[in-house]
Amino acid sequence: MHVGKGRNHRRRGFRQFRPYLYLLSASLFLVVFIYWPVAQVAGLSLFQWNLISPARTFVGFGNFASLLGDPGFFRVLLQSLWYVLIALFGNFLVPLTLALLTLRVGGRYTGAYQSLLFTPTVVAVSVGALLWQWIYLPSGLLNSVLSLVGVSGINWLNNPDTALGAIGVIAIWNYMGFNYLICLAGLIAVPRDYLEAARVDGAVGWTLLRWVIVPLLMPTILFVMLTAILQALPYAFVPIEILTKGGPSDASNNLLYKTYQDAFQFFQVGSASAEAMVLLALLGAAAVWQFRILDRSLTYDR
Amino acid sequence: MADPNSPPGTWEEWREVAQAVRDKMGKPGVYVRLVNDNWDFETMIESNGAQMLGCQDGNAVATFDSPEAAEAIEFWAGMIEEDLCLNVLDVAGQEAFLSEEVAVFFHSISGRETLQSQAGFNLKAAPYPSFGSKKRSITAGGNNLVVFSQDSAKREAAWKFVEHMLSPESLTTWTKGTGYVPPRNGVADDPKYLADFIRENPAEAIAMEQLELIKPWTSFPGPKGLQASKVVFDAVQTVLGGEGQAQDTLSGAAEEVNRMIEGEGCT
Repeated sequence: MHVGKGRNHRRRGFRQFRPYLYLLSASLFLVVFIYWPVAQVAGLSLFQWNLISPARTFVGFGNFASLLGDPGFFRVLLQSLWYVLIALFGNFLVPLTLALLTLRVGGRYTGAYQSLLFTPTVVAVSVGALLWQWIYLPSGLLNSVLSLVGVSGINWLNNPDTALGAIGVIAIWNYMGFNYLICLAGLIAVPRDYLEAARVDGAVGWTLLRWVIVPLLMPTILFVMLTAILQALPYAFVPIEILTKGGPSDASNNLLYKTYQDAFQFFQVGSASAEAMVLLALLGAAAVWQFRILDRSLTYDR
Repeated sequence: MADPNSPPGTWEEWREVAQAVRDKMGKPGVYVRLVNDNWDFETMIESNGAQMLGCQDGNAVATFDSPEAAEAIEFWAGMIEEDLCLNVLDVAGQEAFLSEEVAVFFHSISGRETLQSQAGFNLKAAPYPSFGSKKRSITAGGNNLVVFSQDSAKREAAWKFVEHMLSPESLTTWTKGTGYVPPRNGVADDPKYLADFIRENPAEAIAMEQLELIKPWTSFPGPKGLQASKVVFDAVQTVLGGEGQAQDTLSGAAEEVNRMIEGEGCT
């Protein structure tokens, strides 16, 4: 079949252009729903605005200055860190440990353990929060169980000492199974012959774990750790909104929920945008730091 | 114990009911709704002679830290302290009430339909209690419909929608479906609309009888008005949780609110 020169040329042009065409849908989505809103929020953080008024007052970095002068902001910042620490424990260390343990159990019950651990992940967050509300009621399940060992009457969600932890536990319960699954998949993917070779060389127990399994699992470990950090506040959002509203007296609040409150309950869009930018900077820094480690550890042979 | 057919009229009598429930069942007898719009705090302190907001030399000032207000919230906190009253947010309190963990629920009439349709028991209503012989004050709140458009066709369409929402037909549906009393005359007593429904629903009838006690919900003025109501709610939770003394906590909150509403006028 005869193919004209011009057509050939056009086809080459299309071939060069084709990859970008494939990227278009994904990047369009990113630009429209992620980068453009972020740019808008960055702009809004320099204004005072109540979300509906046509008048926006330019205040420069005034919103950031008043955040830094507000002790309440630092309290919420510190509490955000607590949420991250709880998530690092419950959504990173625990699932990783459980994955290592259940893989060792073996036998016909492995599937049962795996399903049990994963089940909470398929429960809708709001439904899970209401379930935990019932557990945390002063006359609820948790206090009934604790009364057997002589502890009684803790008002879990309405006591400033326990509210944050109570919310953190719900977020862990809801998402731990997913991270467990990722750790498990990572472990299964570790090449058997590496492990055999290590065993032949005499590596067992802790030595095998520390010097063979963990290094081979590093990409998974870092991924799960990064997700745990970045999702700590989003995962806590729904339980906070349903159960405590950030209270009592801000005791279970964090930077993400405070941003939502300031923007959509108090209509202080400027301060809320400034808070969002601080949050973005902090989480962005965490992500960059982790990606740098990830880059270094992606190659198995160092 | 109290006879459900002749319910108590004062907070003190309700407290005795709560004590009786506690003694007999080992559970808190009452739950006073606790929600971040401060409806219940406002209704309670104003029924004890306090005011949320006052007017001084043309400027709005917080007055929810008066001795009457402190006394009212101390009463509430005292019931919590003695385990007679549940101290949880509204969603949890409603769940506790519906699952019979608490006997009495002090709630706005706006929750009537939700409770009646979900209660697995014979739900009865009583008038809002008074402090001794003081005059009760019931906060009336609702929602606003606001039209922002500059386009005259859109404004007209929006206004038609507002008129539709406030038509006797719509209000009949709304009252039946929520419990909110209709915000205009001639709907509740008209047999075409709500007259039969209210006659057959004593809870709604009690709310209608209390209409003479209502006063407008307090909104703190100015661009930080909504934050100011959070300051009040934080103070309420602090006192109810036993984390702070009533008078000091309310005074501290009033100072903070006054900074937020400084320079806002009043009438």
